[in-house]
Amino acid sequence: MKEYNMNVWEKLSEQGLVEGEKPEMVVRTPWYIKILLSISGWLGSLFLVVFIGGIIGLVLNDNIEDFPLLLTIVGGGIIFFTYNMFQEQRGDFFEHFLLGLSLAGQGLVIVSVFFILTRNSTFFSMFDKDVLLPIYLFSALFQAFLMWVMPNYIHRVMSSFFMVVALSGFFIIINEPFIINTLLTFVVTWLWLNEFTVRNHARVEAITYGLTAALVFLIYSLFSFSYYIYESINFENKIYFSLYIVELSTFAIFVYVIWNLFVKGKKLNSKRGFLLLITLLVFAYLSIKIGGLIFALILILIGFAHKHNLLTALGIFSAFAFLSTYYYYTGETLMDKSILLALMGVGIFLGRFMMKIVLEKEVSDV
Amino acid sequence: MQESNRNTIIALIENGNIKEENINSVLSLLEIIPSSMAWYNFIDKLLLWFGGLALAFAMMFFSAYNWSALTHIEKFAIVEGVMFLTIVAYLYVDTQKLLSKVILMVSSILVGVLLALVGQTYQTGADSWQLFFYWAILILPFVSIGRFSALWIVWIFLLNLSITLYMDTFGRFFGFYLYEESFALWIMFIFNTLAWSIWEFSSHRYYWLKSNWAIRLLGVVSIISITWLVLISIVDSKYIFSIFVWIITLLLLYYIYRVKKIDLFMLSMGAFSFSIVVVNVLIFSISWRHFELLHIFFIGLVVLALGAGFASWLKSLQKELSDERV
Repeated sequence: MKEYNMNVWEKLSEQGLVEGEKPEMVVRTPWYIKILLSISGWLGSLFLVVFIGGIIGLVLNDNIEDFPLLLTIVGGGIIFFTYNMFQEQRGDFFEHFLLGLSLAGQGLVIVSVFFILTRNSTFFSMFDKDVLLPIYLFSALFQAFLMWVMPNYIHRVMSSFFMVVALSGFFIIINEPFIINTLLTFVVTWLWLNEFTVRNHARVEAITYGLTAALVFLIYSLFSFSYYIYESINFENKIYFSLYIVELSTFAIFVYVIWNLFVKGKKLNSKRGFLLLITLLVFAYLSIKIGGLIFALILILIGFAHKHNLLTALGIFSAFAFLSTYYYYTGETLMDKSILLALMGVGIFLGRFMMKIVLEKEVSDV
Repeated sequence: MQESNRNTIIALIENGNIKEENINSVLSLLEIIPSSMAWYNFIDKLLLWFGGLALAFAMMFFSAYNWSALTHIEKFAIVEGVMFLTIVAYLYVDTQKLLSKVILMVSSILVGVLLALVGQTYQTGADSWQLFFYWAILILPFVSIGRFSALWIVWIFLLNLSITLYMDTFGRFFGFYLYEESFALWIMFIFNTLAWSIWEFSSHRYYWLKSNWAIRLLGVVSIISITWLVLISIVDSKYIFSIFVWIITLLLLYYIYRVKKIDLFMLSMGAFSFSIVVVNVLIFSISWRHFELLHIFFIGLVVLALGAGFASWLKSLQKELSDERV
């Protein structure tokens, strides 16, 4: 749903920048109402999963693990039903009910895949690499399919979030826990940078929100627990896509953002602007060791560039979260961290000081 | 330009009213894309904040490192020296500018670093709640002169933290032994509600308190505390008083944010609290021995109905608001 501001239409019409009939006024739902809807949809679906599972259990005399195909058919049927129902606007309650129902159907399908893969397993071998790997991969592909196909905004946000969670599980198991960060950072950055020109805007916007939330969640969990991951999972092979490559690639993405926002847009093309950008780049480069901080910075910059207050707020919140987890990294001593932070602080103030001198010179020249 | 213009543009693009080649012109005309001057100011502020915080955190990490090459006196001299420098810098800076606020924030963090260093050096045996409590007390002068909502939020956060840690340590208050978690929640609820009310009413008088995010944050903490208390009462079937207070809180919330003025965010929080409590009442009112599948189905439907009902109500309020604006 959207909000049409009458003055905007008239203003654009005068300049010949809009065409067609003036649209009717509809209101865009604020993010917190969407979150309220998502949480109750999620919670409601949990009850529905238990209910449907219980009914099936009753019918099958509590041997549901012996009938995975039936579970797949029931779950798939539920999803197909909700897909058809979502095609039309049916009011909040119904839309909400369908969301819960679809999540319940997804739960059944994934559980059935788990039953198929663990048919001849003992309890202890149920969570082996051979079982988890296909489950994560299947869940990611399944969610990617739903993310694109399901004609509902909140459903798309949730599916894209779950897809990333499943993908990250997959990459952890194949010994490359950090690769998804770089890939996703690039995708999310590209989507936000091109949000006004991308086709299928409503669909892509929902997906972008889901991916962004998932990436913040992922970076926070990966960097909070990255060293625990190293210790707790006994990697048989070396991690090829190391943290260092991730850090450098994230910095490269930041440079891409700077190029897009400032160089391409011909903003800040004075001496002072050049200094400002250099300071920003030096700051970003120094912060590559603080996992996620560059991504937070990207969100803040794009949020400001597109007047997207929610994105800016998410960036600020993430920056604090990532900075606070930096204290607990075990890979560096507190002294190393302290020196890095001091360098960042001094570098920034030095940059600002030089900008002030340039500004004074520019003013005196004028 | 308001953020709603952004939404209008998106809606018009989705509707096919704006051609792709005109999008950039539209964004520039409606000032969605910031001007060079707006960028200068924004990045300057951003760097100022990050620079200040980086230095404060650097000092915090340095002090926590407990470097054996330095004597106690040298460590104190470094932290106190930096703190002294920030205070001197504040005296020479225009108090209306952002730089003064950043300096006060850094000084406030350094007070905490100094207190932690005292605890680390002298092994005072003090409980951790004392660190945050004295930290809050000592930075009160900075907070008072700052006229800066973020600094007040930091101050309130420190007090909340000290209350929680105090209850964790003693579980008693003024000699009364109260081990239940609910007592800490009561203290947090009372403290945050008081802060929320004072902030809400003072925001009409002082322009620098007109930060929606701060009022909302305090409201969220208060509502979470009282909702949690009600959940404890439902599980334990005692402390009915909390249910009474919860009802009063929701009624006041409705009166202030629906009747007096409209704030959809606060109303959403109230709706969320109401839904959680109703669902828990339903779950715990059914005896586990008699819990049947139909109960589960019924509760699932209630959850969905509450979410949808409140969303529908909030959307109609939003429509009402936008109609008034037009």
